[in-house]
Formats: sequence, structure tokens, C-alpha cells
Amino acid sequence: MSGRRVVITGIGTVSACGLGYEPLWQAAVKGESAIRPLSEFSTNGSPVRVGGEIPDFEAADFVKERKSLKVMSRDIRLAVAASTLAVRDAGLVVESMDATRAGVTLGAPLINNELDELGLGIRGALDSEKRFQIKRFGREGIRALYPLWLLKYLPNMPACHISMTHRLKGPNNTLMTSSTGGLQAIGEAFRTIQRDDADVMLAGATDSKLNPVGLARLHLLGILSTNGHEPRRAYRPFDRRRDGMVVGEGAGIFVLEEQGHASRRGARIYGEILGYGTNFNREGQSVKKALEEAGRGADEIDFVHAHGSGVREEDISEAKLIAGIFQNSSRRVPVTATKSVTGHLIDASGMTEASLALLALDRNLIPPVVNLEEPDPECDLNFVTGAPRPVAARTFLVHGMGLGEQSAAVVVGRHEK
Amino acid sequence: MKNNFPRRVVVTGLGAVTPLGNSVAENWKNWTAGKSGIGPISLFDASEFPVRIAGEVKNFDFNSWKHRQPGMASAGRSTFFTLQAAEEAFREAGLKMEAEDPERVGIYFAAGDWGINLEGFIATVCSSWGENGRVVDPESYLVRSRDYLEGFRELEIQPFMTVKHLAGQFKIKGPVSSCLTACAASSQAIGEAFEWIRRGETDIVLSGGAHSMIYPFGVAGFSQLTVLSKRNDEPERASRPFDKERDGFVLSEGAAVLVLEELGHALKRGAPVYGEITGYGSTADAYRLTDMDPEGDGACRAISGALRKSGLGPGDIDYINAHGTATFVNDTIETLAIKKVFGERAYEIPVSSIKSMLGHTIAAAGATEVIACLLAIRDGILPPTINYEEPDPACDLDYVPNEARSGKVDAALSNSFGFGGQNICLLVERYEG
Repeated sequence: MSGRRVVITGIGTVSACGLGYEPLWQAAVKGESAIRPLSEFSTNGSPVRVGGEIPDFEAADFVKERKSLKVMSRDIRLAVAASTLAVRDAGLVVESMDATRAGVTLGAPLINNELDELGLGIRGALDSEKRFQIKRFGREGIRALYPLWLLKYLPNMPACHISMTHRLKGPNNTLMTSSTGGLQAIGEAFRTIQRDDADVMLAGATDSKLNPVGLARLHLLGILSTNGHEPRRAYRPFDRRRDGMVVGEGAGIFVLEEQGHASRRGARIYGEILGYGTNFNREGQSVKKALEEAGRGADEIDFVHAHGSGVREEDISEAKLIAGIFQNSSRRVPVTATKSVTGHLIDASGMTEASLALLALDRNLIPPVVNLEEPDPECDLNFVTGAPRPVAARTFLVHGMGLGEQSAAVVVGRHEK
Repeated sequence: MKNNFPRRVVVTGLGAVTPLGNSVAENWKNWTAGKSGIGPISLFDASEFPVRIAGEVKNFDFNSWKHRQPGMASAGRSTFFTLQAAEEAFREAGLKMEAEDPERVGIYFAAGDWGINLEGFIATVCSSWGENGRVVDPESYLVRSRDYLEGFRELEIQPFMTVKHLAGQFKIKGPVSSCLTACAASSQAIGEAFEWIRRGETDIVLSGGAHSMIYPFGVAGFSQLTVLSKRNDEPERASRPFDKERDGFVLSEGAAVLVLEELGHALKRGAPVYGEITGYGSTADAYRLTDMDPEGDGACRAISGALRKSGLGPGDIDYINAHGTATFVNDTIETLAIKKVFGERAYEIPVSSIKSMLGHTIAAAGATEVIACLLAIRDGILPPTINYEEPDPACDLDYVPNEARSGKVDAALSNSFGFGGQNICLLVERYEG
């Protein structure tokens, strides 16, 4: 239907491996997990002690107006940093283009409140016997809160800060679709350019749940790994000895661009988005739709980047889904999953994965599933394990899963004119 | 240029739960009667809060839903509002999932977040007071949360849970997305759902939005941003869009659900057609977090974008349903933007804000307003802007003051603007075959 083709011209990632995609790529191909003991606060008495924490992240390096930092939660800061890295990587000069034709689609989490911030309000509402009184909260507790605190947590704020930082005046959307948010942001930004509502879109996701409120919520659901003794070996997607997920934090942004726009300004093209699909069941329709749009058969996919959350039921249902689609292809498609490198970025999880897959396409090398030593017999796929696997890749597929039956897939190919 | 896309998108079902009624019919009756749904806050003791008024949904039967859906005992208020509004929309559309391919039915919703379990949160915090500069001790919070908080209740805070329950309830298996772009969210959801159907991703999309932020930290957060009306002693007169004495919006709650359908699919099954969606514009101010661009640039581009997509010109618009929050800045800039796009004709177009009656339902607001546009087209009645008493020289358009008015509407615009500089405009038209 649409003749407009969409290419990826910039990658920006911030993860436990560091700033930018190069340290992320190096860790992934060397099979090094960046999971480490949490350092922001003591977790000695806690069952959850490790995570993909970003060391030494200085938001001030990315934010021109220092006073803006006061209204930027960590999720917002990570998003702005990733967007700046992506814009730089793409060599995009917004001043020299039509800013109304450039927008943002971001997958965003429900940003966790900072404990001390709300704590001040609650402390201000205690009576003489240290009990919380709602009347007192209304009278005094509220006044103890930082007046602009709500702005740090509104879900659309990461995307809005990106639009303000880079002066992007086109379509702006924030998706809250759980762990498929990053892939859906890529897919929806792809559609926005296809239908001629924009020429350039920053698409991606951000998330940080490495804070007491976020970790407590996840731990209460019983899905976190409690293997704190060996941080780098704790997270084991598809492995028989996995015991749940390890949380990471980070953000990833792609610069998506209409092909003509990219070539006119001589941009470097990493790949072309060929297809996107999403649906609400685990029978593989999202993957089938993405393949169909891409005009590729299952046997034309050179590798698959799986969601691989390391939660047993999810791993099994995903392995069945992938096997179901690729079982009739002439060869067993190589499958990788890289959450064990960075931790599960939850609402941003599709983005580091899509970035690594894109680099794998670019560099003809598939990073392995780190810590996958003994695959779960119920997950019968051709996993890349141990060393990275050389591949002459032309096309790959990334798959993601979210709450309930949510599923999303993106097909990316080497760009050919 | 009109209908240059082969697939046309019509609305075949509506559902609403708001402070002015738990069905579309009840809402429309109250909107056209100029009633206010605002009252003192009863959901918690707000008697000492700086803001003590809101628009609360009344007489809603949560228990029957909890009984029907045992897995949803701890779901948020707006999740239940959504299910009820969706059930109404399905019924009105005559839509039966058994007769549809579930893969061709999708959801693009603006689900709002639900508040934390405040009692459990406070208990955890109060057992974890910190020292050495920490207000709360993080490690203790992490450990003690197990005593006071429950995983499934905490999960229900996630906006996507509303959508998950919606998909589960109606057995929808097609594409599902959810956006939360502040006060513009459900208009954006409807716009994106419209694009899905035009492109052929689905034949039917359940769209709209739902939100409830009437809980202590929600009211606290907005009141600290000084965007809420403090007319606590006159709740029904508090929401005064475009009036000179306006002093902010009134927080409200609710859900509004629309069934969007590909025209041919709707005709084939003999569905009622409320109207056609033909335009959608989405822009960012890229200006400031809570202030709109003083020139209204982003708002103008959203309106122009919706017009361009529909192929209509400024002369074709018969009614504008304003964002009209009743904050000083919004109403001034929105008026300016309408004048910039429509020129002299702006003075001939009736513009009204149903937020004057409903208050601001945040993520649900845009969808209630699209419903108002569709019913205005159907019945030839324009809902009023109530509490409009003293004109503001900066707001000099025809705001349909205080009483509904009859008028033929063939094409209407619905504006929605959000914090962060989000601007959405939708264009709906009479369906004429």
C-alpha cells in the first residue's frame, strides 16, 4: 500500500554495559553479563540483590538546562541520554530539517515514585503517635512534597522531554504496553513514517525499576531470580537451571527515517524495517504478520532474537511459538536472546535487543545467549550458545512478549536500494 | 480529496461511564441539559485538602463485575468502568465476537494508571523510616513490603492491565496497543485506531480511554501543580471553561469506549453508524512541560493536520468540541489557535467544552468528547459550556453558553491537548453513504 520505505539511521542505548551501543555489543559478543550487586542502596537483608544497574550515569552530560533535572526521574534521564546518543549517531541536525516532520514514539513504564519523595509527604502527615492521618496529609503532608513531583512520573514525560531536547514537533506518542513497548514503538513509528505523517521518528523505550518501589513490586509477583551469589551467572534464559528474571535498567532509541530523506542527507543506514506485527495471543500471529508484510518466508530469516525472559512459562510458550513458525523451514533458524547481558529492561526490553540484533546484522555475528548451558528440553530451538556465531545475514526477526498474551515482532533487513 | 483512502472508518458503538451517568443515553441527556457532575470528594477524606471537589462516578456496581470476573478483585476503578462501557458499546454496535474473526478485532486504548495501595504503602513506609539523611530506608522497604503489599494488587496499577482485562473479557486476539499521552490520550488512541483500520490491520478496533486519579496522591499532585480549581464551596460551578473567572480544571474519572469499524464491514452486518472519522492530527509543541506554546503553534498544526487528512477546509466545520479545561492558559491559547486556523470564520463556529459539566477525566476525556461530537451530528444538538458567566476578552468565540442549542452538524472537530505539549485533533463527519 505504502511506497514509503523506512530505514534505521541511528542507534542510542544506555544500559548496564555503559553508554552507547559499542560497550553493549562488546559485552554481548564476549558473553559477559553486566549483572552486578545493586549499589544504590544496601540490599543485604533482601532476597533481591543483583541487577543490571548502570554505573556512573551522569544525566547532566545530556541535559542542557540544569534546572530541568529536578523534574526528570531516572527513566526520563535515561530516555533523553539515549535519544541524544541516537541523534548524534545518525548525524541528524534538526535545525536543518523540517522539525514538524520529526516526532517521537516511546514505550514507557509506569515510573516508580522515589521513596524519599513520597516519604516526606507521609512523614508530614503523622500524628503524635506516629500514625498517618489523612486530614493531616491534606493540611501539612502535601506541602512537604516537592511541588512539581507529579511531573517526574507522568508516563508521557520521557517522550516530551525528548521532543523538547531535540525540538521535534511532529507526532508524539507514548505507549504503555508492558514488555513489548519498545518493539511496538518501533512498529508504530514505522507506520507513522509509512503513512507520510513524518519523515523522521525517534522510536524506542526507557525503564528503570532498580529502585525499592519497583523491585518490591516485581519481587511480590515471585518472578525475580533470587540467585544473588553469582551475579553474572544469575540470569539464564532458556536454561534448565534458571530461577526467574533479573531486572536491568536502560533506554534504547532508534532514529527511523524515510529512505529518501536518509539518502539525501547521506546518512549511514543500518538496516530497513520490513515488517511489523502485534497481537494478543501466543499463537504466533504477530510473527506471521511481520513476515507477511516483509514478504519473507520463515526460511529467509537468518536469525531470531527471542524475548527470552527467563521466566519458565514464558520461555516455554515462546519456544513453542518460534518452533511452530520456523519448524517447516529448510534449516533450523539460529535463535539468540540477550537479556542476560543487561538484565530484563521490562518496558524497555525490546530496545537493547533490537539494537544488538541490528548490530549483528551489520557485523555478521550473532551474540550468544549468555549463561545458557543446558537448554530446557521444553525449549527446543537452535540456540546460539558459548561463542558468537558468524552469519551472512540479510534479514532478522525480533520477538517480544508482554503482559497477558501480548506479542510483537519486527522484521529488519539489510538495506538494498 | 475526500475519502482518498480506500478503507473508510465509521463508529458503530458507544459506551460511557462518567460522573454524569453510567450509559451514553444518560450522559447525553445530562450533557444536553447542562448538568454538572462535580461534587465534594467522597472517595477519601479530603476535608483538609486544598482541593476538595471532583467528578466521581456514582451508583456503579463494582461487585457484580468482581463477581463475574473473580480474577479481577483488586483491579482499579477505571478497569471496571472500561468493561462496563465496552459492554455497552458492543451491545449498541450489535457486535458479537462469536461472529467475528478474533484476529481482526483489536484494541487501541488510552488506559490510565491506577493508584498504589495507599494503606499498604503507608504501612510499609512507616515501618521503614530511615536515618542518615534517608527519609525511608530502601532495604527495609523492600523487605517489609512483603508484609503489607500484595503482588497482584500492585500489578493492577499498570495501565496495560485494563487493556489485558478488556481483551480477556471480550476474547479479542488482534493487535492491542495502549497509549498514555496525558490529557490527549484517548483522542490519540482513537486517531491511531482509525489509522489501523484505514491501513487494513484490523476491521474493528475498540478504542477510547479510562482513568481515575481521585486518590490522595493524585489530587495532591495536580493541586500542587496549581492546575485545579479551588472553588471548593461551589462544586457545580467550579469548572468554568472560557469564563473570565476560571481558575483551573476539576479532576474527574470515567471511561468512554467507541467501536471503530471499517465501513464495508459495518454495512455488511447492518450495524448502526454514528458517524465517520476522517481526520487525525498529532503534533508536539516541543516547548515546555506544562505551558502550551504561547503562539498555539502545535495546536494549530494539529487542527490543520486533521483538516488536511480529511480533505475538508475550514469552511466545512460546523462545530468544535474544545479541549476547554478551564485553566487560564489552555482556554486562551486554544481560542487563539482556533482563530489562527479559521480566521474570521472562527466567530461563526460554535465551540463548547463538556468539561464544564464532566470535569477532566484525563485519559478518558478525548473519547467522551468524540462521543459528544457524534451525538451532536446525530441529534442536531450542541452541548453547552456551562458556568459561562463573564466573558474573557481573550476568549471571544461562541462557546454555546450555558444551554444546549440546536444546530445541524455535518462535520465536527474535537481538540485535545496534554501536559508536555501533546496536541491531538480528530475530525468526525456525518456518514452519508
